[in-house]
Amino acid sequence: MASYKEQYYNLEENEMQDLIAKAKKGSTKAQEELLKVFNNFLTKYVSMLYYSKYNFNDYDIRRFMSLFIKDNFVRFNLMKNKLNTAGYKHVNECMRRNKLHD
Amino acid sequence: MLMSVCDGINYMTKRYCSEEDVRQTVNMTFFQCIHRYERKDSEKGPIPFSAFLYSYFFYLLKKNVDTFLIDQLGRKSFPLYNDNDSMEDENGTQMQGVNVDQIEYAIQDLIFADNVDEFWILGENTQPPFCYLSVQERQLIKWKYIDNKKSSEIALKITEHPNTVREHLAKIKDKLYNILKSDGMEEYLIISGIKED
Repeated sequence: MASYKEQYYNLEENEMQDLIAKAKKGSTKAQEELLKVFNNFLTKYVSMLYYSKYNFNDYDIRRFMSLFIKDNFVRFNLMKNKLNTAGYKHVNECMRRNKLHD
Repeated sequence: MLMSVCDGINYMTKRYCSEEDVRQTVNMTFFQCIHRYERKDSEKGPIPFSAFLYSYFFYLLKKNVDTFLIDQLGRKSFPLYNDNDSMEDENGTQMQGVNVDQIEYAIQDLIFADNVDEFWILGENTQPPFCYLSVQERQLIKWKYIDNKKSSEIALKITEHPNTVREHLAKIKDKLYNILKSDGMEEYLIISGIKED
C-alpha cells in the first residue's frame, strides 16, 4: 500500500472492497457511501471543471489537463509542472473552445 | 497565466452545462471505475482500489467530459453557440440551454434541400433519404458538402485521419445510394451525382 499514492480517505482496504462488491451488486447505500468516501477526490475535478478552482501542484489534475494537450513536449512539461511561458500559452490555446471545435 | 489555463476548460464546460451536470459526469465516471475494477495481484501485492482509481479515473473522465460536457469530437454534436454569441441575454442573466442560429444555405434551392442547419443534423424535419442517416453522418455531409470543408479539415475536427474521413463519406454515399434505390428513387441518383461503384 505504501508504494501507492496518498489516499484521500481513511478506510481499510477490506472495508473498501466490501463496499465495492456491494455497489457492484446495486446497493444504493454502498454507492452513496463510496461517494462520501471519495468526496474530496471527486470534488476537486468538479471544482476544476466548473469553478476553475484547482491546485496546480496536484499531480492528478495535471495529468488530467495534459490529456487535452496534443503537443508532446508541452504535455510532458505540464505533467512535470515545468511549463515555460510559451508552454502555458499553448496549453491555454488548446483549452479554448474554438481550438477544439473549429 | 496558471489561471488562464484552467479557465479554458472552465470556459468550455460552463457555457454548456450546470454544476449538477459536471458533478453527475464526475460521479458517473467514478461508478464506471467501480464497475470495471477487479482486484488483481501485482508484484507488490493486491492492487487496491485507490491505485486503480488514480491511474484510470482521469482517462475515463476526459472521455466523458468530451462526450457529455464539451463534445470535442464535434462529429457527435455541434457547437451550441457561435463565437460571436454573447453568454448573457439583455437582462444580464446567464443563457441556458441550446441556442442555435437557423442558418439558411444555398443548397435549399436544390433538390433534396431541407434547411441544412443544426436541426437538420439532429434529424428534426429531415426528409428522406437523409432522415435514414445517423446524426454523425448528417454532420459529416454538412461539413463536406454544405460548408465545403476539406477532408483534412474535417479530420482535424474529429481527430481522425483524413483517409478515415474519406472512408466515412464513401460509406455514407453507398448508404444513400442503397436507400434511394430501395425507395424507388433511382432517377434522383443521376441528379444527385451518386453512382453505383
